[in-house]
Amino acid sequence: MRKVAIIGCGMTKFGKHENATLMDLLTEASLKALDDSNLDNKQIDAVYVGNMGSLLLNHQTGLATALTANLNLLPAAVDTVQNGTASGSSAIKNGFLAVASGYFDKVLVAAGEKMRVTTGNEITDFIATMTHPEAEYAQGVTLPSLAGMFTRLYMHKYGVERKHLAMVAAKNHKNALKNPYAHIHKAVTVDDILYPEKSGIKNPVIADPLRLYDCCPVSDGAASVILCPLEEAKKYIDTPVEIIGFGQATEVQAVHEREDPTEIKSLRIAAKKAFEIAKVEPKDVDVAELHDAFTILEIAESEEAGFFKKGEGHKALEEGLTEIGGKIPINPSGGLKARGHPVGATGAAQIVELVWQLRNEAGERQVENAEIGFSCNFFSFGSNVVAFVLKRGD
Amino acid sequence: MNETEKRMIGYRCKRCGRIYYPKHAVCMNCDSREFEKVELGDKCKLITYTKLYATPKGVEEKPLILGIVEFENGVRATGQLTSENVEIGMKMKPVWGFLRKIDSKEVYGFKFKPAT
Ligand SMILES: [Zn+2]
Repeated sequence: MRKVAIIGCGMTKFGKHENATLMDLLTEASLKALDDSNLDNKQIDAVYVGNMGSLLLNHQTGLATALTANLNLLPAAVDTVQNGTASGSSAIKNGFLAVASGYFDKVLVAAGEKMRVTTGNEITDFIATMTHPEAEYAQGVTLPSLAGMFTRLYMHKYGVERKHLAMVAAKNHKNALKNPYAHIHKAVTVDDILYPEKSGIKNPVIADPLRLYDCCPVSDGAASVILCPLEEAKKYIDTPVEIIGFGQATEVQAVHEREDPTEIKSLRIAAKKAFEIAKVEPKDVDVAELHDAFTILEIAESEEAGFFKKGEGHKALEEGLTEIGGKIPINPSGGLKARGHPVGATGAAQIVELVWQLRNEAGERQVENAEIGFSCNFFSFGSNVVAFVLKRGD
Repeated sequence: MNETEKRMIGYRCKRCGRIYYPKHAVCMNCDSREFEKVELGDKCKLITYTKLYATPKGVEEKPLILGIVEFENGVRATGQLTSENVEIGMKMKPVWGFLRKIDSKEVYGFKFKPAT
């Protein structure tokens, strides 16, 4: 296995892109990444594109083939990768393995989604196709409903309160204010969220006990990275970022079949594997991008990834340990909650944020002296989890 | 069969006896591929629930009450609840009924109703 570096990255602003097609978004992110890497087009020998729903939402398939022709990267070997809401991370995994194996040298990974093309009830139905067809989907189960049931259990078992959920949202909204790429630029306090009748914000119940401010928005956007062998990386960029760890693990499809429905064993296994390969421990991580599609998930994931003991994530949050400047800043980008969640793009956007953080290019949201970063990206409610550990190269 | 006589079915591994819902092709406990259908019974309790206001396309009713129940044999199932006056630990029982539309086709299955 060769060591693999990220030598370029780029992304579009996340949000509602009325006048751009999905291909426009993938193209913009990829051209930025190519420019950032200083590579010549003709050096790219493989492309992986992550996306969940272009067939259903955009009447298009084979995104990687179309992108490759659009960018004049022909005749590169390319594939489109679909792993639901973890498609972005899975596309990067494919690129990582391709370079690590020695088969390909310079790889472009792009990931994007254009979701703001239809109604909310169609989008929640589209996302729900990741659930078990008979045991969940047929019942009307959606991702927010799984999150609502999980939150109620978590509150019951660990004493998590609504104020803790609001703390996740308030923190991530605050971070996103300093991220020009974020979908939502709106400051909210914990009290604004808890007392909407007083603050005047709209915070309707989505899946009780979860409200609007507990759920990520529906976004359009794309993110791209360029990979090459670490030993060559310095030829193209002063500060390469090495992918030092990768882990992935799966769980039963129907959430009710989990041995303990308050645990996300797949993340625990994926993170453990990623840390083992990386030869670092959770305590060594300086900055993390977690999959906070729902506020409860940031709390649960901060535990399963190994940053805090099970049932203590909300206490760490209360102590400010996960803020920028805290012991382990989580989601300095604003996370899915505020950077937004163009589903197939999210895993790649997490990596782009970590690269900027590790290169000390994250501007006002920079985590000081960040050397090691961690990301995790969920398919559905964690039935397939992809985790990475990144390190600033010298 | 009369609708009121429908029984919720699980799948028991013929080798180790573990019961599954939904069905699996290979037993997660012993790798056997042989299963037989068993009735899950009509006694279960509510583990957790939610009131879903952001319903998917195909579900007209708002809010849609969803929950996870656990049968006496330990098997769990996810499903719609017939009442919003529920709490964790409450005794429930499966009842047959309309669930939702998928591609404008009506889908029927088991929901859960408070047993008291
Ligand atoms: Zn068995």
